[in-house]
Amino acid sequence: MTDTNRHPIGPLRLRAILKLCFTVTVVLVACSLSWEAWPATGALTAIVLAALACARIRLAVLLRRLTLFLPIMTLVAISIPLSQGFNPTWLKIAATVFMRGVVSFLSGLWLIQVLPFDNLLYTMRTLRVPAVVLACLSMMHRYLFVLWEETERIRTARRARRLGPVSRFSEWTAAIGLVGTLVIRSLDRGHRIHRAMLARGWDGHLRPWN
Amino acid sequence: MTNAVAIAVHKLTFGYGNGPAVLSDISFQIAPSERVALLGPSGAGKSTLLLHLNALLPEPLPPPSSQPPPPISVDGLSATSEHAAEIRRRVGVLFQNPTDQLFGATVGRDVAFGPLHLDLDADEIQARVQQALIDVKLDTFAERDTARLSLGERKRACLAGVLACRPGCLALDEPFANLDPRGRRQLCDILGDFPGTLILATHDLDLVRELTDRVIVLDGGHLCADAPAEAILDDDELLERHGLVA
Repeated sequence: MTDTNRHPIGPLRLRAILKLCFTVTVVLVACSLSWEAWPATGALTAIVLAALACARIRLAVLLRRLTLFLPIMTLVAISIPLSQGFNPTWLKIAATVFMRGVVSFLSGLWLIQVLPFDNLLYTMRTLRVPAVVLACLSMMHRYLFVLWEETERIRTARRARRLGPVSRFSEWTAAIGLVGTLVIRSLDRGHRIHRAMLARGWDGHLRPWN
Repeated sequence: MTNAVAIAVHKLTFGYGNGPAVLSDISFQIAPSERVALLGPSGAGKSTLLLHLNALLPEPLPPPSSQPPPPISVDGLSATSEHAAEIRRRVGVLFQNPTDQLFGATVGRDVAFGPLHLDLDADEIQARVQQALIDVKLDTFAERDTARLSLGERKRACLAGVLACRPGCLALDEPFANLDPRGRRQLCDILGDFPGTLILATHDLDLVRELTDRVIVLDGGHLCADAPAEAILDDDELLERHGLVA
């Protein structure tokens, strides 16, 4: 638990910094490309796909993650023409937003595959990212897994009570119920965590620990 | 550890929001270094009482009299928001679910959370973290990810986080729940060595006999018995009446 900022940056740390910089650059470039720059967007996508291939991320894993993300991105992409009207360029705008999201998501996916989360936080601290941001990310990461376990427990409990075949509609209805239950449990958990923090002296001011 | 803490509860009545009273007219006193068990069936109000001892719930109304003593006081300090910080330094609470209390990325960082908020210098924090981890026999766990601990290890890591603040009183909510026999024994040995005031809410009568000298029985939010541990634990009829034995 020593302050690593005082030490010179070694090759491993340098490699981690480069990985983080690559991801940030890809996201920034993807978000700044206009919808006319299709070749550049295609080239960027190809670079990210090549990076994913080099990291030996299995296609099945990639597709599984994309299956979760693509519906959300589709909704975001069509929300713009829905709010601004379907003028002649709506399809291009929606496609641009969609591609920006997908490329950014893929580069983020690459980063978390090639850089363990603790290492990522450590690297961000080396780059002097504010402690409050790191603390928020650390806590989010910690409780993301707790929430995931909670989700699995609810799903297992539901499956245990399912005695026959279930229609797709019932599946969706149950999934909505699951999300609702999860939100309520998360709020309860957040309340309990806050109480536990207060009990150990939390006063609203973050003190970073190296 | 700071000096052992004395606790006084006087006619405490409390309910959540506009709901029914969870605690009704509870009064007792705990002397410094006394070891007290809170027994009672589920929903008796034990956890709520422990939260009050740490000023973590809205302040209960004072009893109706001209010069009432405060409903809860710790070393003479009324458990109000005004004294909350000082009371939390003196009383350490171990919550029932260790996942709620273990919010650091690594065990070391989590244990350091309390000392950091006491505004101690870095060397003192480091010393306290190491000592607390030694006390709970997790001295090699400082860099371990908190998400990858067994339940027993998580409970001991939480206890280290509380001990690192050097409280004069430990208030523990079901510390032995869901632990295997070895985990229970380890935790029991650690608590046996704690020199301060100990308040233990549990259903485990064997460990109550081993760890405490006095038992307070709560049922339905009422204080039903307050006597030496042996007297309560040998009273089969009382234990059965309050759902403490099957």
